[in-house]
Amino acid sequence: MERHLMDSKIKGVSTGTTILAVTFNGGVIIGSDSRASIGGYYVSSKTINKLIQVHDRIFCCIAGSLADAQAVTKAAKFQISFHSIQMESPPLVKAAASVLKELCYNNKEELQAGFITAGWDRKKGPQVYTVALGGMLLSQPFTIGGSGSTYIYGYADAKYKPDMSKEECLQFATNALALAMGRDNVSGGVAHLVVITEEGVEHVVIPGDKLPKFHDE
Amino acid sequence: MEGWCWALTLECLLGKSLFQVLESQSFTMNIKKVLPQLSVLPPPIPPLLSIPHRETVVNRVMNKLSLLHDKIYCALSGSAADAQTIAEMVNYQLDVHSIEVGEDPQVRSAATLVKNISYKYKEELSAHLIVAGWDKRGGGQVYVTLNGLLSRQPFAVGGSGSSYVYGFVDAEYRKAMSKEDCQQFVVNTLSLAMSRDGSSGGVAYLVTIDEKGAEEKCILGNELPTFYDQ
Repeated sequence: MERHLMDSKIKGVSTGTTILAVTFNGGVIIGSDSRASIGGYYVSSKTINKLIQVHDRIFCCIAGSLADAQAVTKAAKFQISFHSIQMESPPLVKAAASVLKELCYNNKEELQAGFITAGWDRKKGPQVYTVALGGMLLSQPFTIGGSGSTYIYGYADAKYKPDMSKEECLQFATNALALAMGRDNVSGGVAHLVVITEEGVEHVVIPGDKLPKFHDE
Repeated sequence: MEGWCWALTLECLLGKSLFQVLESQSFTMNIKKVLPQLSVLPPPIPPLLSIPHRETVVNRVMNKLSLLHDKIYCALSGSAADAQTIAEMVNYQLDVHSIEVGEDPQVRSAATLVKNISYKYKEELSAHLIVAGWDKRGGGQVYVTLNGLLSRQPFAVGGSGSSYVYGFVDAEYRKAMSKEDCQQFVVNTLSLAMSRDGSSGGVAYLVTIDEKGAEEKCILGNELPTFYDQ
């Protein structure tokens, strides 16, 4: 019904999107849909991957203008690998998030993209950071973003529990993505999920017809 | 820009009778329009200020559920003046109609009357009413009348806070819930929306309508269910 079109002012291709990241016991799951649209009328891609790997155990997902997001993540990827070579150790998730935040804040007039950074590092374990449109950096146990996220605030608030197991967390993330994709016209396609733990990184893709269905479908 | 309020209406079928629950909350309004203060219990929570639009809370305990007939209520959202006016007009028209037909009006008739006004004055009005009630022909029913459309649904959400709970209601709604489950579902949904939407808050009003009649309830802010971060 009544809602604000968050991406309607973005020129060109935007990722009107749903992205989320949730920590669980021992790791973090980062997920997104796969639709890219122009002006909310035309789906320019049904299967783009919005989960970008910026380092071995650090991923980020993008919302907003696709061009801005790709430019920023390319610059960030370079800066993070350079930083990790200088430090001679894998970067902290917070460092990766800070790099993105600097890029967003210093270019806030031109850019229109928000990010969620999630990953695992030795110092603090699994973490989730959000970088909002103007360059604010915030650490949270879980976070949702993109235009589709407005529809799942209630669901996420109700269903999130701290210290979930990996399976519960996967189920929570899949349900949340499916619900958002069901209501938001600029989110859709397949659900991409990446599970990041100390052991490694696991990419799960759930095609549209295998997503959980709810009462009216 | 006017403030919006949030309303949830849903219908649960239990055998032949219908339970229908509506809620409402206080909402934020432009200071140019002032609502009459209602005399209800003062809620034990601090008043809300909607920060982004620099609006003021004119009334934090407004009852947004209007009676259209004994067993037909409507939930108001959008411009308060527009919504109240439509509700009053339909109340009158329904009284006349029910005398003409000699029995209680159907919920669909009430919804059609609301829809006719919303559609005819589409450009001037900015209000959305959700009509819900019980009649002996169809049991419990819920109708949405947004912008002049008329559609019957098992449940409906509306107002500014509704965007945040679409996911939750999609996930949690079940057909043929019992009355208590239905009330719990509605109260949970309201509580989640109130915690996220800057223009919603205060107390929750519920009206349960079935064959026997309508029962109104008011749940104070501190008695609402809390979730993870509250």
